[in-house]
Amino acid sequence: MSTPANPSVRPYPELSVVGVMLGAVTGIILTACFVYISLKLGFGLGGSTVAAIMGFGVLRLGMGRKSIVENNINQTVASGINTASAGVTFTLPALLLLSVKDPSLQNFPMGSLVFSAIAGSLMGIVLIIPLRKQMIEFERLRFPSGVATATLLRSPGEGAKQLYLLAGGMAVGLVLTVLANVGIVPEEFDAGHLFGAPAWLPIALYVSAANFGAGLLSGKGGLPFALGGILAWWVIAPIAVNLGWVPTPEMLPAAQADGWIAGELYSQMLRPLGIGMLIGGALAGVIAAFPAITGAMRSLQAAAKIAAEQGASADEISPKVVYGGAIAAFLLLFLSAASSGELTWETALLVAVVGSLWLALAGIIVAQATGHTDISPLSGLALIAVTLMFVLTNGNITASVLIGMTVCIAINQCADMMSDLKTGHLVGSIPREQQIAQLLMCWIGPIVAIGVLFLLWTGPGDGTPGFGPDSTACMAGAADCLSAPQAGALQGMIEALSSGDSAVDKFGAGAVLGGALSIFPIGGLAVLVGLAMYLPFSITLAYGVGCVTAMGLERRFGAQWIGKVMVPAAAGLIIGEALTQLTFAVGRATGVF
Amino acid sequence: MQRAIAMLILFVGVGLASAAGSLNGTSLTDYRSSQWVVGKYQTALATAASEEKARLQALEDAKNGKKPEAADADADADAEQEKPKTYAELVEELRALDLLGPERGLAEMVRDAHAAVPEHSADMIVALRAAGLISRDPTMAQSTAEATMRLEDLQKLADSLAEQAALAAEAGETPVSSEDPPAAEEAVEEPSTETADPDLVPPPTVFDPALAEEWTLLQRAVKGDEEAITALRAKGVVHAPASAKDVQDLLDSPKEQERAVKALVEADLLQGPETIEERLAATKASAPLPDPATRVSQWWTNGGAPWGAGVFLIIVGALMARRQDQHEQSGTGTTATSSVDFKANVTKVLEGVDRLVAELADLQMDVDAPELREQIDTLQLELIDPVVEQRGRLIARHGIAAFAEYFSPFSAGERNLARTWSALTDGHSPTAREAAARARSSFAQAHRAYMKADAKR
Repeated sequence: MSTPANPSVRPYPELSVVGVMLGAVTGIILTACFVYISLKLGFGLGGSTVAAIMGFGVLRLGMGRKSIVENNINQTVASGINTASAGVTFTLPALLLLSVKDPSLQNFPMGSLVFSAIAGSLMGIVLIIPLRKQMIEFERLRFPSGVATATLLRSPGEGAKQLYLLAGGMAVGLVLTVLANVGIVPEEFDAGHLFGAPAWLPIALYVSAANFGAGLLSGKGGLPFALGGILAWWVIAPIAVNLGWVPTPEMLPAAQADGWIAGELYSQMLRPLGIGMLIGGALAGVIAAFPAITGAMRSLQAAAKIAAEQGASADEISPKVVYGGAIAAFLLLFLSAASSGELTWETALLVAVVGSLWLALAGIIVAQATGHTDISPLSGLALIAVTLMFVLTNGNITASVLIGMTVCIAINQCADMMSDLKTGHLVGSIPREQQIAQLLMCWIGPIVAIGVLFLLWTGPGDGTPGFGPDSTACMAGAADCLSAPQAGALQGMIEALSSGDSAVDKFGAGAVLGGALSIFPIGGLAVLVGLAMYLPFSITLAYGVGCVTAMGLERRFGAQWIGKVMVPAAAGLIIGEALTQLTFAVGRATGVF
Repeated sequence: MQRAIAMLILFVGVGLASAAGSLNGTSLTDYRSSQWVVGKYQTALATAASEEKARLQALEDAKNGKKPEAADADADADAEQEKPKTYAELVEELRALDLLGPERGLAEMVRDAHAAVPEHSADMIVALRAAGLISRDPTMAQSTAEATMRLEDLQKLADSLAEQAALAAEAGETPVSSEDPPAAEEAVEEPSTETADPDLVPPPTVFDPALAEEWTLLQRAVKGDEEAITALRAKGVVHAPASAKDVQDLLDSPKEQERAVKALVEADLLQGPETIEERLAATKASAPLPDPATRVSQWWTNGGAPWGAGVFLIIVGALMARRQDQHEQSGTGTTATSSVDFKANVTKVLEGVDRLVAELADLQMDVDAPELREQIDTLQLELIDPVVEQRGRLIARHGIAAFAEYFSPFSAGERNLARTWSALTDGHSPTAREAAARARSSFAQAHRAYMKADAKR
């Protein structure tokens, strides 16, 4: 909190108890809601914009606390807590669903589970903090959602024109999302289908205001992402199909052939190759940026030293806190693994070391991917985490899911912390304050998410599962069925792993390819191309349309026009869709819609 | 031009390496091809299990007096649209695709079993006996016991017939016998030749020749005469070892048909309907999942060369692009003059921040100053953003480490300007002044560090 020279002047709140507490309460509510929504619908949502709007209502209007940076802290805390919901609901339910078939999986240690989740939350933050300078200041990653939140936070100071643009964008996002949800506008505009193009040559646009808005905000920087998708689907796919590279069953009916080929191309060929490229690109990126990272760490230490000498506070959190946090998180992870009763202490140590290394790399991948495109390749990286742990623990499913959950929470935390720091950069927050706030509250999310999850699991009270296909509600086709589709997907992955099915060839080929691409002097090229192969093409193409539109507008009207007109409108598109989608999700989950 | 060539090489390289990288090895291709069929079988099995579960649940509910929940109209409409296929429909689909043998009904299998009896009767008897449908081979002792019981029955019959004959004689009527014996006189006139054995009791006179012969044989059987037992078995008087006829009789019995066919199918003596489990196991066995080492080595054989060529092209393109960047930054490049001058822009930013600091000096609390925010926006859009856009060229010019030295304070200055903007919006002039001063200090530091980096080149 800034202290004015004149004591009679009111302080300028930033890292305040009120801001942090409001963020914590908002975060806990959002986490509980999003755990339920994720189990019901299969996807989670970001909480930053909701928290920022709550901040406006409570802090600015309700309590008269006029401070953009305090609201930034509130939003940072809330989204940091809520981050755990996605990490937990993607992984832990898979273990619970598997335990229905295999009772030996039912006796997992709850203490280890909670501590491991907290370790992941803490580790995600401390590992990404040293990269703030690299990602936010040097690479200038876009973080479209972070920009949208910043635009929202800054709205009281913007001129009327910008406010109208923001509101207009929100209205467009709202209308489009409503129309898509009620089925008037299709989820995907499939032009290829109209022209009779085969399914393996998609010409489809994902109808999403937020996706288009993210493309607009990324502009030229996001173009490699779209080009990667075009290369994958309009160049590689036709070649592979016409040369007979795609495995095709002899008795496959002609009517189903295109769909099967498209599915094989995507899920078995391009997607694993894309995951490999993400890994190779991130690894090479870390190596290439190593001088800058060490330089940033040195400058952190120097700044801390100067600040200490001058009796002032530094802008960045002390490196000692970062190192201490990393050691504490590692020990917590090791102790969780060792006390799980599933592993010897040597294996637990190995799991903690490899898990931490992978967690750091995956955190960078997710932060870069969301930084460039706002899209997180969480499931692919969780799969790698579970695969690694599966191999290290000799097929121990409990330990694999436990560490997989830790990694998921951590990498989500990395992306969220970095996105919030981007928002903070744009509104002028002190990074240290944001980092302290998120570190202080990082333990809450895992506890709430795991608690709510087990509450739902044991809900029926008669020993039957509370969610998943075997739950009484889902078997009866009742409205309160929580099908947990994400967990079902991970369960399928684990079962495939148990049978020895892992795309090691494609991961390896993609990793080398990603490493080679990183030599090219365009930041994040490998991550962008890899992400394009990882995602369905309709998303990539619609995002690319946004990028090209932004480039055209910049050429026509200039860079200043982009900043003054397009950015608030694009941010409005993202916020409008996020809020409307959240409303629909809550409505569906509670049976209102 | 050189950059365009580098981009083209890169694009070709990425395309080649990605296409080759996505290739499958031979075993993996076979395995993946089989997965569509495996998926079909698994869906059918899962549907069968689910239908069975639902059926049991319905039974349980009915037992507990629970009425099935009435689905609402909307749910019905949705279900109509996305109705999953039933097990029966899935089985039909599998048969249509030749993924499952044709259906074989009970009548068809009974017919085939009848046809197989002459050739496989012994094996069939064994199978049906194992299923408890045909009795075991009788021992000699069992036959003797049966013969004793039959003999007792015949004695009772003889007594009964004699009594009836006596009564008829008294009344002058013809005796009536259930076993239709011939007239007593006739029987007496033609006694059995088998009565010659002095140890045997002669057959009752009321018996006809056939019964008399049986009587004699039974007496011999009771004494353990194997020949007599064999003769009695042949006549069907006592149980005989199972025969082809027994199997035929069993297959003709509507009550036992289903069990008999099942036993024969299980014993592989009769072709039953092909099961999905069998075909699933056979499909999996025909194309097993290759182990990781095989997977990688086969991929390398198929796609290693084009993949390697693609990676090589990527590296060549990347190095060409890097060289071009360095060439441009050395001052001899064609676009060097068009790049933004960091030093000049930062100098102008410093001038702008100085003006801002001066104007902030007298600003009161809670006074809205949109013109000052406008000044900050202008600095950001006109001077700071263009420098940010040039960071790639700055890295190429000074190297990443030196770039970090001056770009870090530059970014800190930018962030503090944003803080000034926020504080102005919130009407907090002291914080705005403090942040503006920090921004000035950071930009000045960036300027100095840039000069130092430039001097080192």
